[in-house]
Amino acid sequence: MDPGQIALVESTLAAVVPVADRFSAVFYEHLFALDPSVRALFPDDLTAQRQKLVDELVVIVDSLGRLGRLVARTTELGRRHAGYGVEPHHYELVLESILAGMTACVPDLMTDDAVVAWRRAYHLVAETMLYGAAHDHPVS
Amino acid sequence: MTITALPTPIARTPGPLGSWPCIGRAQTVARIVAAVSAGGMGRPPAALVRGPLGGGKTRVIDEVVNGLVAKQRSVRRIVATTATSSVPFGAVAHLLPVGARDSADPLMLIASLRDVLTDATGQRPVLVIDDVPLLDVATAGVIATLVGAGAVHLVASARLDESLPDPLVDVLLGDAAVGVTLQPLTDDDIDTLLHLVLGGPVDGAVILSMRDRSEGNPLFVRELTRSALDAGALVEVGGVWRLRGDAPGSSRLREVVESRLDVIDPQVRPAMELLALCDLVDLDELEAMVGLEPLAELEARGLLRIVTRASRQYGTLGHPLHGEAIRMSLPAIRSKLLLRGHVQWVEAHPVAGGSDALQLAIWRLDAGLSTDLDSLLHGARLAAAMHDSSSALRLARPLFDQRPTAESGWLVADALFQTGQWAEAFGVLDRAAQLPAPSNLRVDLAVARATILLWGLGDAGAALATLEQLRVDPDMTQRDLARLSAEYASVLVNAGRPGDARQELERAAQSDQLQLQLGAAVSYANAMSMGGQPAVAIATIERALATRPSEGVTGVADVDAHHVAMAFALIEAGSLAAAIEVAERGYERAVVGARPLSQFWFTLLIGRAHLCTGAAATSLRVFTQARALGLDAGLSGPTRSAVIGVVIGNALTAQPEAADAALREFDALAPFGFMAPERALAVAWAAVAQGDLAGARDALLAGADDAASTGHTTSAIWMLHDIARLGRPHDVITTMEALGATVDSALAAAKVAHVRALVDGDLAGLTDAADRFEAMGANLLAAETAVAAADLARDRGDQRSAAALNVRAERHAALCEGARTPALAVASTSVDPLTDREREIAYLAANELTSREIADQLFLSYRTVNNHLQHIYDKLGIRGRAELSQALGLGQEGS
Repeated sequence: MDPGQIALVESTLAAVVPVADRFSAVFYEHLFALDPSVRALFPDDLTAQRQKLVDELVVIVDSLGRLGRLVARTTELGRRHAGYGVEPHHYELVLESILAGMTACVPDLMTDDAVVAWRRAYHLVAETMLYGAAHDHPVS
Repeated sequence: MTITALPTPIARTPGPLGSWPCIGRAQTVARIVAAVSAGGMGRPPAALVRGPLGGGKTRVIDEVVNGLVAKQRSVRRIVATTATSSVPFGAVAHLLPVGARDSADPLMLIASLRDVLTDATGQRPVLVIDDVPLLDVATAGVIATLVGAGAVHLVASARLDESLPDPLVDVLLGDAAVGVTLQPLTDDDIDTLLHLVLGGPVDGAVILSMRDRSEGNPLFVRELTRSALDAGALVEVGGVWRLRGDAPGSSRLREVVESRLDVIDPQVRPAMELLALCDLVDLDELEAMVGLEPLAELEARGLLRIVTRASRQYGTLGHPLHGEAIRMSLPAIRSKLLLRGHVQWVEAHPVAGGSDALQLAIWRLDAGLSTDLDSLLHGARLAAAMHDSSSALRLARPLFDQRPTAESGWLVADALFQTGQWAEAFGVLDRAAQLPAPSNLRVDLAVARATILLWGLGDAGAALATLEQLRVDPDMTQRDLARLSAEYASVLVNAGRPGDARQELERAAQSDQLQLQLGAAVSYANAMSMGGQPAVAIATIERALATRPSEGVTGVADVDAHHVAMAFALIEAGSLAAAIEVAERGYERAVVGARPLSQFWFTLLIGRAHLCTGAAATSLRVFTQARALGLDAGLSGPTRSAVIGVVIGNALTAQPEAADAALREFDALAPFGFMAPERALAVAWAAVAQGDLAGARDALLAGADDAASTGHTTSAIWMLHDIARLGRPHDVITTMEALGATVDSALAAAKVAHVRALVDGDLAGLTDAADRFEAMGANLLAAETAVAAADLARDRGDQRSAAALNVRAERHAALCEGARTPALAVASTSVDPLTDREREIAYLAANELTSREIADQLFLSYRTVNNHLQHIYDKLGIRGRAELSQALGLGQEGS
């Protein structure tokens, strides 16, 4: 992933932030359709969850260019998610759902290049989260 | 236990997750951890991670270990290496308590290894084995037993192109095992990996270049990255990692590795070479060889890893491939010199808890130094007890050369025999017999000699005489005599006299003396299978397999012999699919273990099982293969059984000339007693192929007499049944029912019931017999029985049942790969079927016998034969002899 791809991820996310509610709604709808059993990992009321999702994405994308900061955050995030019962195979579902949400909100911006950039960025985030989930100690 | 050291930093900018994280494998790791972490009953006891060279197996195993530890599982990790692969218990020597390794009793050693590997608290530990194909056979045997007993769970890794150790094949490839094959890294994986390793974003061109060359092989990616960094071709420019000019490195992994090794300072190279020879070398010794700073440089470049074992630090190569590459270019004398230096150092620096005497002895041997013969003897005994013939030979041969004793001679001869080199084994036995020996060892030598005489030279008389000679020796103890009697009886079974051996073997198989009991079980089972009681045989083998410690007892038949006996018993019992499965698994193990004798026996039995199903072409192919294996292994005697199969297979597929040729080949082979009465089957079916049904029946009748009187009851029933199949059920029913009353075989019972129903003209009985044959997968017999039932139904005017039975017959016959028998001849034709007499005449006429010849053969008048033929032509709707063959479904070759 090069700086051009990082910029692409940043700009597309920025375009989604104003319609964060819609993004979250599509995201969860898509996620639960892909695997209904995932619903049980979340609280009944998703209101707070919806806001957290976009906030977290913004913070993570913001640190894509600063690896040390990114990894410190994602490994801790991964560790926490493992505690909620999230398993490795769920990560693919989340990527699918993010892309579905992005495509629903800003269809014109989600070019092939943008999709590749998101996939690469997500892979980095997911792999480091998984590392954090498996290695129960903070990474400096 | 050894946990692989953390990867060493890549020197310049170590990434935040260590220098070489495991990317793209989280789901695989989670799957394996979940499979073995529950630890309850009924969980998969084993998982196998396979992948290509450099496919990331070790890293995945690291992560699995990490995941298991996180779940509070206790983990024992064993790293198998080239250096320890041919040393009995070499992979686990460092785990054994002081002194246990040198115990003279293999059972003691196995017990202490079990203690080390299992857990006193009752929790099942997980044994994790890196590179399981390199695990020595002895350790593999113990682990297989532990997994089988549910005492441990197992996780192992193996290269895709390498064979698993023989004892673990079933455990790791069985239905209960979880198997994963590591896939190449994706572009996304490579991107993330390099991003983390290099500590910053990577230009897309780097990813493409890496992917194209490495094809996603993780080791290759690593080696290419390190090469590119070393050469200054991969650089950070403006916060992005880019390639400057062409990336160095070939598109072949080995070449990349070799080029990395080429640039090692010649001063430092000896340390790498020693590591390639010994896998694990004390860090102090390496330092003494080349100094500490060059080692730090090697470590920084990922060519050397440091592991801690029993609070000492050892060096090991960065990857096994480095060792392979170095060994390939290492001259022999240089290896010797390096080993000499190593031996000197190890001997001068004893470690706490004692060094590994056997390993040291082997190094001394390889270094061309005088070696500790007691250690070699000890190692050879262990290897023999664990059925690791090639290691036993490697250790015992120099021992016998330098200190010839009866025992070392026996060890060499046994290992030579097991690996199919019996001419040489015989010579060693001759020399060993001249040396003084205690009585039990003299029995061992005599048994080995008798075995070679019987199987290798086909001389049962000499084999029996060898044993007889010792039975009158005053030095023999009661124990020796019991064993000699059992061995004598075993020879009788295989020399064609199972009936004379049964009692003796039954007694021995119930002995409380383990060696006697286990050794006799196989022969007893075989005698019972031959004698019509395969159910007893199966129970005997099951008991033996359950009670045998599976290893550690010398001088008994190995596991192959048990499985051969099991497959044989299953066939005779009519459990054909199970027999094929047992034999095919056994064959695979024998191939892996390079045991030519076992390969022959399993192949022979696969052929026999297929013959019983009626799969004519398959059985012919397999018997042909068995014949080649048997001749190749020098087993001219037992090869006769394969040739019998070749004759029958050719006869069933209507190739009379080939059947005849095989029969001539049979008679040219050395005479041999094993299952000798079955020769009649070959003679008979060759005659059937020529259209000589009467001749066939005569041969079968004589063969059945011979079989019944020598204790080959199952063979006798087979041959009598064939007489019925060739049109004469009345001739055999009395004898068959008398024999049938003594057997416990479902197949034999169905044959008797089939003939009874033919004699009685009992439609329900025939249908029932067809059902029984069908249930056993004996399709050819089911088809023939359905034909007879269809004829009977039609005779009774029940056209509807007749038509249904005909359809059924065709369905069964369709599974027989073109098998053609007289009893099937009209299955696919005939609106108005032939009588038994007409069928016989039609068959002879189709095989080009003249009416005169047919009349002579059947004691009929010439005129009667012609009348019959006219009826036959009318019934079949044909004009004459020329169309007969096709109308009978005999095809072109048969005419």
